[in-house]
Amino acid sequence: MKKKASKTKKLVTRRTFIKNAAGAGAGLMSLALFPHFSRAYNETKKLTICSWGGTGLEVEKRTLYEPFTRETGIRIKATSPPSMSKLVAMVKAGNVEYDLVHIDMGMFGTTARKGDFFEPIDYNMIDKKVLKNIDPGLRKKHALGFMYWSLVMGYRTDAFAGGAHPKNWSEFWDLKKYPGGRSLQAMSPSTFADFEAALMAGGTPMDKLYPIDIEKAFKGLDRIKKNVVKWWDVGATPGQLLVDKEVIAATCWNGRYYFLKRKGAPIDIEWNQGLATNDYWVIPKGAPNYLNAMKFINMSLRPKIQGRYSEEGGYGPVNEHAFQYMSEDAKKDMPSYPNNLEKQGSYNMLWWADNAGKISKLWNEWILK
Amino acid sequence: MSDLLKSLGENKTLGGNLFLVLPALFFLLFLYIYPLTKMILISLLDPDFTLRHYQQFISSSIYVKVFFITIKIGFFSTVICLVLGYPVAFLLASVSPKTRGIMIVFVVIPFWISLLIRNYAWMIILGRNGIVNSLLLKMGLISAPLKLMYNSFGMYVGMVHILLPYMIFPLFAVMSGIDWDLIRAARSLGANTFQTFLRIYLPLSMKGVSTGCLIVFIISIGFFITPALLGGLKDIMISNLIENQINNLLNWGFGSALAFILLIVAVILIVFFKKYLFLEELK
Repeated sequence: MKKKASKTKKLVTRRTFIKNAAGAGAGLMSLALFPHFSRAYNETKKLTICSWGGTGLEVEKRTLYEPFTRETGIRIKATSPPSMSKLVAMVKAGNVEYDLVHIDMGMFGTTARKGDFFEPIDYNMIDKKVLKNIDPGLRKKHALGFMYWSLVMGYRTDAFAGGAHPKNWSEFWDLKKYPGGRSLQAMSPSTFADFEAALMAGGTPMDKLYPIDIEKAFKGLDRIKKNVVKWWDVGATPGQLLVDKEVIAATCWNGRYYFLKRKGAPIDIEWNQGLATNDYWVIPKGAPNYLNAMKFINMSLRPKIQGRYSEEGGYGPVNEHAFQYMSEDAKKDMPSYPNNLEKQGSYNMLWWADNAGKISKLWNEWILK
Repeated sequence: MSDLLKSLGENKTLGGNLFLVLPALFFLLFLYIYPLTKMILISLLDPDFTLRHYQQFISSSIYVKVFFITIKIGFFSTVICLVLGYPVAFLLASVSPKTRGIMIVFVVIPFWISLLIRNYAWMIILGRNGIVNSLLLKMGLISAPLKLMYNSFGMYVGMVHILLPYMIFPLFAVMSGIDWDLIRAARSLGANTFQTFLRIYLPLSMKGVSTGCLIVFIISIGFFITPALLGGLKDIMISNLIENQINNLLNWGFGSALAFILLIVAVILIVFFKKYLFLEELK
């Protein structure tokens, strides 16, 4: 209690200058609405969400933003893409535009190590009944996991007779048995190299990947380098390569394949040895509409909302009750569908956040070798 | 008002009319010079003065290597643009105004289409099962698809397509000012077509060549989307590394140092370029 009181004082001081009578009134009103929440915020009826854009944004608009605005009257301004350097600059300058940002653990880790850039999540504002269905591992102090995604193998269904497609990374690496082009991740601003796949292809068990043996991983990539048509660094590329028959199998984020599969492309996902992880909501330090952001997070975790979001976007629900609101076909394509989850390992993005700088350099040395 | 205009007209010195450039100067000062200074400071302070980021640059051959690749890609893009753009500009300058209007539209059209769309369009054309490969296969000229993209070739095609108008317009601007009487004079004095071109037309168009090359080179060394989309594994540009340091790793110090070194390298190259390659010949 003491800690909370001192925090309130600090925030009030910081905001004294920008406050006016009307703002104070609105602050009091929000206090009345959320008695457990003791901060005085100068909230507006707006919420700025920074998300990934593209087709994913269309899905978010339909399944999250529109229902939220209908329910609360709060208008949402969508921006993209989530740039951590922008966020850091905004917080440092004291001029934060984002209220809520959609990020992965790698981005969270990198940013959190540079300083204090996120507001704590107020778990009192999350519906208790909903919260108990969310894995405690996803309830971080400054971030809350709201969806599952996986780094998986996608393949062309028509390239392999009788369903004999590569079913693990050793087979993906087997160029004699499965001739044809491949695509793997480059080490880039938006992608991490496929070290895990390279290690698993060499026999490292799925639960013994981290900390990654970097040298061994590069040796693994050496074995397939010649057959990698394109090292992708944009999420749209692997699907495009498969559709255009440039390659027969490629790694990618599962949602990209889900989308193409639903549109009828001859593409499917092999869940075995995939790497599952989560994306999180974070609220930048000093976000102008903290309460609205918390209300939004709360809504985004409800089973029905989660079900619709996952059904359309292909990224798995964190609320297990969401599956009852989904079609049978869609369920089976979710990274968090129990049958799929048990085949997969866990993608340790925090390891990547710690090592990305070093590996970027080694990667450039490797490609120019 | 008319007095003001009159005094402007009379006062031919730069000092008297300085206030005319003030808006532009303010614009540059706040939106260019200030951020640039800030960037240089970020590369030198951490939080006290340090040369750590510059030492990091020198200590690893990889960054120097990527700089060379960047300059190499910029150089070849410029040369290809010049070779392809010069005849087009010549044609533009010598056809009738009506034909010229139509031709200019064709040169300008790519400007109206987003860079990403143009890059993706090339993927459809250059792909394994793309238009070029399908055609060559059908004609029996090749037995297996050629690799036309995801290598340097694809990257140059994409880059030149984007950069070509920046070469053509400065060339055209200079060429359209060339006095054709000089050409006729040369011909009447007995020079053949080749001699006329080499000794009269080419030197007169050199200003356009140097401007076009400079613009194309400067733009090309800042490229990173096209090499990433159409290029091969080894086609990495320094901009990719800068973006990685700034956006992904949040190492603003080192990212700023790389950006500043790029700026210095570009300035040195430009000075060298102007001094030794083109302007000397104009004297």
